[in-house]
Amino acid sequence: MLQRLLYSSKAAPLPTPGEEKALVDEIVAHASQNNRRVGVTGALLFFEGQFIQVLEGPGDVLEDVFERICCDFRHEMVRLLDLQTVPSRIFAEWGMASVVDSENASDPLRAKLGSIPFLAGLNAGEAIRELRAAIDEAQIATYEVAH
Amino acid sequence: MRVLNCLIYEHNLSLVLLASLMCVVGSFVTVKLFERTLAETGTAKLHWTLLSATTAGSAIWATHFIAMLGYDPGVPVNFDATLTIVSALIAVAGSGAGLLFASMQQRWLAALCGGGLIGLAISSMHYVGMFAYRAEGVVQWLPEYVLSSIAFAILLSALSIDRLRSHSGKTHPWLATFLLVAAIVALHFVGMAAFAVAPIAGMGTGADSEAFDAMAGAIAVVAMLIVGTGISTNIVELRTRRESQSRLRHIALHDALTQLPNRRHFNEKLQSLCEGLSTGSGRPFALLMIDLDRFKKINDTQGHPVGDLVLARVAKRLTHAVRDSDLVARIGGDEFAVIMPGTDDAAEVGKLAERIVEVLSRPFAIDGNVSEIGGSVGIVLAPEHGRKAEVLTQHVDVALYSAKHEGKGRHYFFEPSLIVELQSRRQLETELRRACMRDEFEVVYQPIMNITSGGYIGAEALVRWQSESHGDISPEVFIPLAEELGLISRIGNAVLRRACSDASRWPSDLTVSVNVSPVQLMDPRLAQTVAQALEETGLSAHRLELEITETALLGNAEKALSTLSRLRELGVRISLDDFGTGYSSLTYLHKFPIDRIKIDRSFIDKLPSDAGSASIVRAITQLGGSLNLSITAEGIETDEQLSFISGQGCDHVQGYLFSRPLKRERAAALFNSRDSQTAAA
Repeated sequence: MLQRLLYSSKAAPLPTPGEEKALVDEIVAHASQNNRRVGVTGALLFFEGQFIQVLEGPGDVLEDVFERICCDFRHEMVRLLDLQTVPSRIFAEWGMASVVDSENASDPLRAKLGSIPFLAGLNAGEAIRELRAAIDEAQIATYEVAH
Repeated sequence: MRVLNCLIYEHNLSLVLLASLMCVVGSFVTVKLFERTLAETGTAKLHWTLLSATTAGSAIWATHFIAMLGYDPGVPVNFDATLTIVSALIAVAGSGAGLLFASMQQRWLAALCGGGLIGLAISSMHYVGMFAYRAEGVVQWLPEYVLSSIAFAILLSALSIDRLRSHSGKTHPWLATFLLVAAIVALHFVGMAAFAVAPIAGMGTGADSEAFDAMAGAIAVVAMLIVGTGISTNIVELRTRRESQSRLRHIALHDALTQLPNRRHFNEKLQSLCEGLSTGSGRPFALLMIDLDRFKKINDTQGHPVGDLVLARVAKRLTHAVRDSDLVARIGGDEFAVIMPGTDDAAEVGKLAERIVEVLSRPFAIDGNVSEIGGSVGIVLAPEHGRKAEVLTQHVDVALYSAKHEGKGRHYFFEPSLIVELQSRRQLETELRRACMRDEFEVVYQPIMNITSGGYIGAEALVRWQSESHGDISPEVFIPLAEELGLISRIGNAVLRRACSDASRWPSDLTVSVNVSPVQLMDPRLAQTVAQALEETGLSAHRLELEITETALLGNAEKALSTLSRLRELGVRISLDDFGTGYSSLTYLHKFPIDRIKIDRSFIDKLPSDAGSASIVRAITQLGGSLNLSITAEGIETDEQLSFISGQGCDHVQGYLFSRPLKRERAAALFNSRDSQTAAA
């Protein structure tokens, strides 16, 4: 049974702005490899010291992955915001996609990223769709910068 | 001298060596198996006797037979097949019988009878074997050698068995082996010295030594196989037994569910650390006692299998949180302990306690359900707070109790003053129980207003309690206490009945809202209790609104859904209290039959200045609008808050700005006067 899970947490200790990218990259590199192996996909947002993460996959596997996350001391105040059965994946392309707030991002994108943590506590489904949109937007931006 | 001559001049030395090897190895294995057999009881003893007897008999017989083949009487020789086989069977049966006697209660009797019988069996085997030995010459027997050989065999065997019977828990297998070897060797060679053959003229000389060598080799191989089987059975069995013993020890000291050390293991460790302190050789240490918060609710609402899974995960999380050198143990149901050896630094211990509280506050996702528990931690430092195990455990319990009652999800170091507080809390508990028996709770009513018309639409029933010794106690204090003491359903039902009865005296368009605790919601009798209260008081169902919290839905969504649906069928309305503080998700609003959302006062408090709260309130009202739910804002205290709220499309409000909670008579008077005013107007 395919399920989707959304949680938020706070980085502990808070990284300095310079460390943020490296921290997220390290988490994502590790997570996407593990997730791929067990059939989990998802996305991670890091905004102002806060993680918002979506995971999707078979229910029991998802619960194991989340339990491992709950044994991790690099973050604190872990709140599970949503866990439900879903018909299909939203982040099927990535073991763990990621988007980090940065000075280089466009203002509309940064505003969108900033709204996701708020939204996550109130309307998980909407927050997840916004996250997907933000990732697409960030990727296009990266693509344009690169070319 | 005759014996030595017989050995040196009348035997083939290489076969004598083979026989000796057979004798030593066989005796060693035999002794090992004897030792084992003597230690066994019941059926196992019989099995071991059979194995030992077969091995011992084969080894002894093979020794004898190979030595016989090595004997060169100087005349042609052949063997009587039947008697040879009989001699082997005598060795086996005699050893078996001897072994059974060797287990007798009285040690000297056992050695005499058991060992004697074995000696006798060896002798009989030898002499029957000798009758099977057909030498083509004039045979002469020397009776004094025969008798002394038998005497040697019996005496040495008896001594060997005696060495195997435990002497205050100790056996002497090497000495026993030596004595058994001596018994066999003495019997054989003294016995052979008793035997003399004179060749008869005209007959051939010497035995067919080549055929005998081959036969001796074959017998040696077969006997070694039997002996090898015997010893490997013993070794394999010993290993299995040792493994199962270590497994048993593991089971005795560990908790089966979590695989953590258990209470006994923990006590042993604590005791040994305390002993170290008293002898002055030990280092300081810290003891943390952890009790899970809200765990009972998981067992009650989601069942014990889920509760067990949570406990197993708690164990893993704790193991992740501590240092490698710390001991994490499960002390009982939902109680865990950590011992930190070598630490008396309060800051370091406090940091670990914070990690524990943090890791236990994280949610548990099991079978699609989410459980939120938490942990409270009590801490003592040794030797600062005590040197004895009993004192330390008592003090750590006091600290834990304080942590639990100061709002849970925190840690407390032991302090002497906590003991006094503990006593006062115990008293409060007693008074709460008594208040429950005598139904001493008061119900007050806070009016709810329609934001557009400014008229009353009803009131929320709130419970109040005045304790004898402590005066007014806030519901935030006594409700959790009542939940813990299992009194909450009783209080809840009393409040429900009282509220229905009071509201039935109000004008018929006014509603009454009553809070329902998560425990009540999980009680399948809730709908029946509500129906009964309505019937007894004559209040119509649509005038009653039950307020539940989001957390109540978390535990067991299906159970909650079925109870809510039954309440809905009665015509009762359901509102979701404290909305926005917990696990808020659209899922719940879609899934459950909910009529109203109440925005938590913590958001209203910060209005309109706090942008975060403002956007949350805005989002909630929008959500309510799109799902067609009524919205109530509670805790309105200022005009600014009211004007912000009314701008958001909120339907109903309550708070000190309009009215404090009123006693039943005043509430009834207020509502009825409004009614008469309206009627008058």
